[in-house]
Amino acid sequence: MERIREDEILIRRYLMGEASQEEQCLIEQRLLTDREYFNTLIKVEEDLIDEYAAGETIEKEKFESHFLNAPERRERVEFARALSRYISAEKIRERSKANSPISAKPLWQGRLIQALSAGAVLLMVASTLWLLIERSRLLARIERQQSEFRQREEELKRQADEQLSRNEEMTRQLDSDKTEIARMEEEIARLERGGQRDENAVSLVLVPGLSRDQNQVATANLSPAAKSLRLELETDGENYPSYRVVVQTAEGETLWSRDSLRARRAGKSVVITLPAALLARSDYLVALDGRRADRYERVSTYFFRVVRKQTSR
Amino acid sequence: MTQEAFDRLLAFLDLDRDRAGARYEEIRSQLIKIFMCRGCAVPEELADETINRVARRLQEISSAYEGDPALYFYGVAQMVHLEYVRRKPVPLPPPPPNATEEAELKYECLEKCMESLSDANRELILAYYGEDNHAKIDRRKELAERLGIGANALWIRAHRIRERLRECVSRCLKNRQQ
Repeated sequence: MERIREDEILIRRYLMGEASQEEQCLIEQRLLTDREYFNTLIKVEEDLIDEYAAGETIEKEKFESHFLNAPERRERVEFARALSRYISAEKIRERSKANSPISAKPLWQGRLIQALSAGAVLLMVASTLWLLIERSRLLARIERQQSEFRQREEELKRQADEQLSRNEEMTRQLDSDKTEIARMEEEIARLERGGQRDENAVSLVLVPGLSRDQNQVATANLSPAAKSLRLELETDGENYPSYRVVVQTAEGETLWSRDSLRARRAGKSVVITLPAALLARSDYLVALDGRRADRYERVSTYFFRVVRKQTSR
Repeated sequence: MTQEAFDRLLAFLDLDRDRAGARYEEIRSQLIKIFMCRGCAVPEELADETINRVARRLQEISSAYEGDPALYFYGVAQMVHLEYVRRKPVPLPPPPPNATEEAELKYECLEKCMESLSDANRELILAYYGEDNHAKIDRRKELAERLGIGANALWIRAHRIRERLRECVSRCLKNRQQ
C-alpha cells in the first residue's frame, strides 16, 4: 500500500513535468514493461483531470502548459467537466427526492410510476367522457320511448272512446228497434184481434211482378167506412235485415213510405198498413227495397188497384 | 509498413501471433502515453514513427537482440522525441476557458449516454466520482467493500465504464455535427 502511494506521488510529479531526467527514464521504461504500473499512471492521470475540472488544481498554469498540451487530454478535461456537472445535478435531484414524501427510488421506477399515473388519468378522463356520452344517449332513448308510450296511450284512449260511442249508438239503435218491433207487434196483434170485428180494415196480399192485366191485378175494394188497407208483400225469400216500402201513384207521385220494416214468416213477406184516406180510386205501385249495410237494394215491385165502393141505399 | 515487415515485428514481440498482436497494441498505447506525458502535441504520430523505425531495423537486430523488446522501442522513442523537440513545434494554444455551446452539446450527449447505462453501472459511476478530496477516498473504500472487490478492481471497473461513456459522447457529438 505504501509502495503504491509512493508510485502515485512520483507519477503525479512526472505528469506535471516535475520529474528529473533519471526519474522520467525509470518511469517510462516501467510503463513499457509493467502493465500494473501503466494502469496506475492512467489512474493518477484521471485524478489530475478530475481535480482540474473541479477547479481544485493548485499549479494551474503548469497543468495547462504541460499536461494539456495534447488534444486528447483537453478532450478528457471537457468530458470530466461535463461528468462533474452531471453528478452535481444528480445530487441535487437526489436531495429533493429525499425531502419529498416519496422516498428516492431508482429512476426507472419513478418513470414507471409517472407513466402509470398519466395512464390512469387518461383512463379516468376517457371513462368520464364515455359515461357522459352514454348517459346522454340513454336519456334521449328514454325520452323517445316515453313519447311513443304517450302517443300509444292517446291512440288507445281514442279507440276506446270510439268504441264506446259505437256501442252507445248500437244500444240506442237496438232500443229503437225494440220499440218499433214492440209497436208493430202490438199493431199486428191489434189488427189480428180486431180484424174480424173491424169491418173497416181491408187486407190485400201482393205478389212480386208488374202486371196491369185487368184480370190479374190485385184489387182492394174500399168502402167509405174503410179506415186502412193492409198490404202483405210477398218476397222471394232473401231475408234482409230491414226493408223500405214506397207507395206511388201510377203517375209516379210518392204517397207513402216507411223504412226499418222487418220481414215476417222468415223473410217471406213484409206487411204495411196504409191509411184508406190516402187511397182514392186509382192504380198504385209499391216498391220494396231491402237494406244491406248502408244502401238499399230493390227487392220487388208490386201493383194494386183501389176501387171505392159506394154506400148502398 | 509492408506485410513482411509487420510479420517480422510480430515475431519479434512473441512467437505466438495472437499474443504478439496484443503486445503490439499495448506497446503502441504505452508509447502514445509516454509522448503525451512528455508534452507532445501529436503523440500518435510519434508512436507510429517509433514503431515503423523499429520494424525497419529488425532485420539487422532481431537475431542478436536480448531482453524485453519493449525497451528497444523505448530507445527508438527517445530518438524520435529528440528530433521532435529539435523541430521546435509550435505549441497548441491554451484551451478557451468556456466553449459554451460545445460544452452544452457535450452535456446533452452525456445525459443521453448516462441513460443508456444499466442502473448498476450508472450508480457505480455516480458513487465513484461523486465525492471530493478525502470524502472521495472513504467513499471509494466503502464502495469497494460493498461490492466485495479490491480498490484497484473497483477503479478498473469505474474507468472502463467512464471510457465507454466518453466514446459514447464522442459518437453523439459527431452525429450532431453531421
